[in-house]
Amino acid sequence: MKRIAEQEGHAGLALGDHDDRARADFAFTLRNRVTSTWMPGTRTIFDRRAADAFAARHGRRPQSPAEIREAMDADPWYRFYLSARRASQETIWAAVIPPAERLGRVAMPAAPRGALHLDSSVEPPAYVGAIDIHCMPGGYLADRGEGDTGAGAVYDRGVYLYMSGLMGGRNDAVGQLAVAFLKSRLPEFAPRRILDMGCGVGHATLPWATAFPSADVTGVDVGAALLRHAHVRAESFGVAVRFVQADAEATGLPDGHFDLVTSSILLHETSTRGLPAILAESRRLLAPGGVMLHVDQPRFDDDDPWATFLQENETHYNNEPFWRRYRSLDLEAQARAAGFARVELATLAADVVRQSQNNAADDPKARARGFLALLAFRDA
Amino acid sequence: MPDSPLPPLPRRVKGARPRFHDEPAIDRLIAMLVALTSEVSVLADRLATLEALSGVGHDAVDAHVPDLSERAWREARREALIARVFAALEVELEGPADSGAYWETIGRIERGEL
Repeated sequence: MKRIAEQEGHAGLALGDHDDRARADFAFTLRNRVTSTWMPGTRTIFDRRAADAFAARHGRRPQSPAEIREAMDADPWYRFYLSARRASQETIWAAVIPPAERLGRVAMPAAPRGALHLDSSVEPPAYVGAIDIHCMPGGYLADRGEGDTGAGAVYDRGVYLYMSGLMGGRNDAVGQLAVAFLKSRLPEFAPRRILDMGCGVGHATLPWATAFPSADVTGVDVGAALLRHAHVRAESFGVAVRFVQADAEATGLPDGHFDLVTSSILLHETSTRGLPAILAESRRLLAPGGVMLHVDQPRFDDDDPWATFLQENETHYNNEPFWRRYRSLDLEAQARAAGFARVELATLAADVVRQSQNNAADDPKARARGFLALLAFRDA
Repeated sequence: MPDSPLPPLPRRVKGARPRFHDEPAIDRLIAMLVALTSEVSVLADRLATLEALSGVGHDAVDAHVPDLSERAWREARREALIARVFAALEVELEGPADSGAYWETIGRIERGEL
């Protein structure tokens, strides 16, 4: 049973009443069932009969991810599993939307340590609104106007349930991973100004502010309701962050302003066009000697077609439009093309990564898998 | 801040829902089954809350053995429940279906024959 940490309460968190919490608990337990029992069961079905059935039709066993998909799509258990898994995803949102809705208009903190700068003229990139990522109704852009934190409150709870609490009480495991990596790789580095791109509700932004308490930390995102929630949440935790509504491809922030430009699990939710623009914008924003660090999913392991097949299900069935294409990109080459001469890649392994990659916790190959850290330096 | 209430949050997802079965009704039934299981889970939690708040406690409920009159009362309730839930199945046992007479009757009513 996974429940690594209860979600830590804060002023903006919408837990709702008894039955809302019971619905969220059910969604949590069902999600555990999906990842712990059903998802590994897909391999059992493949080994027990789906591969043989494919071989009977084609005279050879399935080899490529596409052939594995064909073999599995023909199996009735697998189809039932996919349908139930999709319904389990919808159950998460169905559980968390009503209590978020009942928040109504939320008052912004009276004497904030940080700040909130919304700009309704910001045009979000088309990929953000084209498909609601993770099947979250309304997506990141739903904004009902002043005092609306709904999309943020929904996302905050949804992430906790979807990741079975493995993101930690503050949903900040990825941010903590990124901070720990940078501190160990560059122990002398002390950024004065930090930018977190695609910050959402600030899950990965707050760890930077806590790790570098004397730094000015800015988070940018295109979702106004996400940022209102981020602001309420950060102030409730007593962490000073300036949240700014802006597009990571063109933030409008000054040239050379930041010592560290970072993001956590942002890149895979962008697009073939948007990703290079974000890397170029990162470089423009960095001061001489500045550091870029983007932490996200790694490339596919081409030697493991089964893992690739599982990964690609996110694009097929969970509204992750860029996931499949993103994971065949050479990010090192992309960073060089954006003007960075010094580029490094590293692998950051953790439980949260395995769950996000659809790997069974006891898969020995999966233990070595991790998030990719794309680290690059602007020349001094 | 405006006094006006906010409109409801979106419930519909942008991005077409995949079809997992050739018969779409099967996917809908699976989604209903998951939603229904969620509601059963909520009710079970609510009962557990009542057991805790009432001071009765979960153990006392587990250890309780109803007497004969209580068991008879429950048996009657269960029978009625099963009859309601399985009515769609059992209605056919009550006699042959009323075949073909429906539209014939409507026609006769429309033509003024009845």
